[in-house]
Amino acid sequence: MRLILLVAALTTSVSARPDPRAPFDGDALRSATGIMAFAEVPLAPAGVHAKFHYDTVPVANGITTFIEGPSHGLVQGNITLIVGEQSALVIDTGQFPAVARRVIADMRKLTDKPVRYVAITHWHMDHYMANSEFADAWPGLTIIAQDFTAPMMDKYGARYARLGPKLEENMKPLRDMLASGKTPDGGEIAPDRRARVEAAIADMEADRPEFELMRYRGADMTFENEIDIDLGNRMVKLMHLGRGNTAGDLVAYVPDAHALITGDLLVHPVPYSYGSYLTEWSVVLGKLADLDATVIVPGHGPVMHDKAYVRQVRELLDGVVGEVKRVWKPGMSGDDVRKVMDLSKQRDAFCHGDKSLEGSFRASIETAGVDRVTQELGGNMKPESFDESN
Amino acid sequence: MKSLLLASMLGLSLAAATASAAAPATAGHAEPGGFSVEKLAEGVYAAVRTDPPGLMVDANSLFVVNDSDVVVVDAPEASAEMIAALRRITTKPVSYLVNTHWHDDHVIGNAAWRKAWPGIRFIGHASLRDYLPTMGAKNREGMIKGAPEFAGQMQAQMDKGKNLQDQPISDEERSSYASDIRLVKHYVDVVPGTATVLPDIDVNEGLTLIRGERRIEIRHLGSGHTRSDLVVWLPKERIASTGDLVVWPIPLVGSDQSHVRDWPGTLDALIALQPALLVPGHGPVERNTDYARQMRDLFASINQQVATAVARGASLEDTRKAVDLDAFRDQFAGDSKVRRFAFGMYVTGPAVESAWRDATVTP
Repeated sequence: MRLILLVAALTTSVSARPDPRAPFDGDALRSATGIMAFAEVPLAPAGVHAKFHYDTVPVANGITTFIEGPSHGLVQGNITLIVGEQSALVIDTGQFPAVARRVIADMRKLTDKPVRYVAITHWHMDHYMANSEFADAWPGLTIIAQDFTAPMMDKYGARYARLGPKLEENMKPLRDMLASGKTPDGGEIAPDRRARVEAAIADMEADRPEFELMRYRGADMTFENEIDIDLGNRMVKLMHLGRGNTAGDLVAYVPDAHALITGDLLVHPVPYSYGSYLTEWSVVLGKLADLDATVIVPGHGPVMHDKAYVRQVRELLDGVVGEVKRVWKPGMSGDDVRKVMDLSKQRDAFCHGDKSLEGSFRASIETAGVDRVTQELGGNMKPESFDESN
Repeated sequence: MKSLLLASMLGLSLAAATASAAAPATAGHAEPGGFSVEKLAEGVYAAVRTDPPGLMVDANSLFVVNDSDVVVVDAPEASAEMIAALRRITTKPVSYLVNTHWHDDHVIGNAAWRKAWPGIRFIGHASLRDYLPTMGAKNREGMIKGAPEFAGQMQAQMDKGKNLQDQPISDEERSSYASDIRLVKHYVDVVPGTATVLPDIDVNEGLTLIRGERRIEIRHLGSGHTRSDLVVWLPKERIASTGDLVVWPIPLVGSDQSHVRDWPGTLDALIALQPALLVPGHGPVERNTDYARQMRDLFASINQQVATAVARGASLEDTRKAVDLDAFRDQFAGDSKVRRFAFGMYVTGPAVESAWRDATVTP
């Protein structure tokens, strides 16, 4: 789905809404996993994504996060390893099987303890499409998800693993753009834009073999509010603190290390809010802020050593909800709200005038997020889905 | 009376006794080790103790054989024999074992199961982690110290042709004592020196295991027998494995370990599942919820009678005198001397105390 967003972003304009005529899954465009593609990150050295660069970042004693490098195409969430005296637990497996194999090899260098648990933070596909690689590497491991998340994984993960053959048709608008030298609205394609489109095509071509390798593997164990895992002199609390980014967000908290792994409740630099529950999300972030955590691993983005970003995202959510409430009247749609709202202060706080970040912000916050608050106020909250508009 | 006091000191582990007549009827086939294995549904087997009711017990177990693994409920003292019985059913590995609470007859086998399948993960209520090394260890120490002496007294009474109350021994009592003595011997063979194995996965409200098409729900429906009680519920098969929330023929109550105040509500939650089959912690498989309701009514009555006494400021001793459980005693024990004795020891005494304590400590 990220892919679609990327194509939409590159073929329309940086700040436009996703293209509703996307070739598959229709309004899936507006849903969660694609937003990073809007970032149109600065060009990385050629070939970086073909090898999929990631950074191996120490978080705390026995805790390591594998953080994705820059991508022009599909992205994957952070993967975190937590090691105890007897066994280890992994939070999220990313979406690329070949990348996961490299991560697994790196994990084996870090510890000889077996990974006996994998916890999935939520159902968006960039967080668990490599489950099978981990299950093959450590047979008998237990894959854990929140009650809401597991059936959503079953629904979307299995389908996603079959998307490989559709990649080419999704690249076609980009190839057409390069061939004609025109953007879809007829304008000349600027040189920097052309370079980004070329990079995106190269990245997607690099992604294609990953789809051939994908085999869906779902959850073995689900819970509603909390279960705690003993890794041997180290407890990991797996908690669902309420609806936020999705209705099944899982966070992992390691009390002895004061470490918190949040999934996409926190995404840096611009939060994802596709199919999200902004009012409740703010409450959840308040609960996270109350935990005794000195190091925080977001779903995407760098390891954080204070709670400043937790507070910043919470302020953003409160600000968006407040602004929509201020202008909303019964019967107003998200589009109606957008005509009269003003989120420029929030946009500047996250984007600092960076055009590509502003594209992400407009799509994720001002479009998808505002739509969700509008639905909430109208009492017609739609179910999370890649099948229909959120 | 000396024997009775000793049994009280030994507490819960010397379970409700009563030698009624013969061993409970079972539909399964007998296995070495004092239990029989009964198939309840496709892939679902209960390992049910066949000892006659007595002061000593070992626990039932449940094997749930899935597409590629096995989930087991409880790890009794006879776990070595149960592992052998399971291996005669399937070669699939055991992935998870649920401890329904922290009493030795439900957890002491953990070490044996882990030795058999090193990849096994134990699931327990979060409070088990606190109780097992404290109250559980104290219970174990008391048993190891006191049980052989108690068995010796039983043997001495039998040799004299007397029961524990120094009356002429009945056939029912003789059979029950003989079973108790065997169980004590087994306990002493198995338990001392066995490592305590705590859960790998702590639950509060519960969790669900997804094994192919099978769903196995592990739920804390409330306190009762202990604070840590878990029920394993197979929603498709409508089978509930209850741990000691349900024990036949006489409920098992520990004055300082059970929570009679909460027990009726917990049993109501169990009954609300509408199970077709109940595998109790001790006793044969039940095909309806009649007995669970009978237990619920017993505890509800105790709570109500205790509340009335507490409302007028009654002490524990006054409350004991005020509570009348004669009708329940008849209902549970009939005219079996062993069961009537056990009802007094394991219900009337500890249950009134538990209810009184909870009623006075918390407003």
